[in-house]
Amino acid sequence: MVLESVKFAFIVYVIAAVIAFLVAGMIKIIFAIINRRNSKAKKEPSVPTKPGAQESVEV
Amino acid sequence: MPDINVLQLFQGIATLAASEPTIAISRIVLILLGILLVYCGVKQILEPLLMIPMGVGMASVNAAVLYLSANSMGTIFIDPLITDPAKLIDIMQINFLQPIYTLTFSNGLIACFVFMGVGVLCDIGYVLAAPYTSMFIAIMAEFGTIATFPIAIAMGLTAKEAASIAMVGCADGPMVLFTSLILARDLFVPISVVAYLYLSLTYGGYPFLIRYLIPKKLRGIKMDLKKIPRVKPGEKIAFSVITCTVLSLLFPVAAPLFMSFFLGVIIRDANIAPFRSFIEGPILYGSTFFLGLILGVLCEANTILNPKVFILLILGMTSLLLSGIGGIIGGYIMYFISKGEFNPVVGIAGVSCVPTTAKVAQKEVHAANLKAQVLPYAIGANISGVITSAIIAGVYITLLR
Repeated sequence: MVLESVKFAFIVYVIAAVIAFLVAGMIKIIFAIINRRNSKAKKEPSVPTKPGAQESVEV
Repeated sequence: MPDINVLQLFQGIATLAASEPTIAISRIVLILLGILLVYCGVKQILEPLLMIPMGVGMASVNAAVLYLSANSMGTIFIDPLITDPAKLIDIMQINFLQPIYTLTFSNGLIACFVFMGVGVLCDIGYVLAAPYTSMFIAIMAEFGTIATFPIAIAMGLTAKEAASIAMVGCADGPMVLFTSLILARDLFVPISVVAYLYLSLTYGGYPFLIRYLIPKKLRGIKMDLKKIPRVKPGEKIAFSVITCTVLSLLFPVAAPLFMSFFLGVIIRDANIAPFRSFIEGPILYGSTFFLGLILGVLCEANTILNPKVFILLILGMTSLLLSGIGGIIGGYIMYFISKGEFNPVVGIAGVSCVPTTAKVAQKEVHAANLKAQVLPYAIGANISGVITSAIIAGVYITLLR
């Protein structure tokens, strides 16, 4: 019974550790996506896409 | 005119005299313990927010036993053992704390409210700054939560009871309450009381553990705070929403805990001022007050007297001690991996008693080296501890329910 409970506790620990590192991995992925999007936005200059969509110039 | 009988007039004394010696002695001991808790709370030796209402409730309920009928004794505070719906409706109109107990305590709502408050207080950015390190330390600091389970089985508890008392090692009151309510309803009162009493002691006990296990030279290691990247609120919110959804998907039974915690985090980072002040103030302080009061009132001698209480006291202490040791071992492993740049004291903050263990870590580091700062890393490990504790609670409840 005690031996079985040691085995059970070990399995619980492994499951918890795997999920905890999965959460940590998720953090890295979210950061990578956000950083990639930000750096892409910085690289590309804002170009008017439609005719007439240019900023109005005050004279 | 009726005859005046002194014992009929002072029923608290009459029931004390008429009770079995064990119950009578227990009532007196619990009254004195309640007064001691109030004293320790007022003197700030133990957490005053919990200990003052708990102590007053404990002293009062054990003094206020009266004759409910010719043959039965009880109180007009709470009846935690009642299950029949018709009787429950009746008793809700008699026992003044019964509505709060039935509608907020026995369904875990109060634990979720406290967890929501913890979420609002936590800056999750410190976890996101060093996610793997924080999670590693937190999972090492769950050692007590895991190792106490087989010890409890060896001491004669059932698997559900063993898991509930082992959760004391995660040093998170609402989590212990939530788990024991689902897994060991008969023992949830003594387990929750043991948990909250011991959690109050972490502030006094863990510094000795740190000083005993970590030499002063290592305690004074200065950590580089410039390495910590800045995390934007949008990133924190994205992480919270995704993690909450994924964890709820994996463990639906612990979803109320995940949702409450991450909702608090999101409200903090979304900077919704009215909700934030509502959760930080009325919700958190109101829940803490009623949590302490109800736990104290539940410590009535007839309810709490259980042959397993002594075993629970030993196991609760073992669990917290092993978690502290596990956290420090995690700190040492990080110290060796980082080639001496990581302060092993941070390991104790993996035990998720937010923010007590993080403050203990910083205090001990500061005492060893006035220039050393570890608080951001300690808070990261601390908040990760909350997440890993909720995960372990989810695993235990799902597998043993």
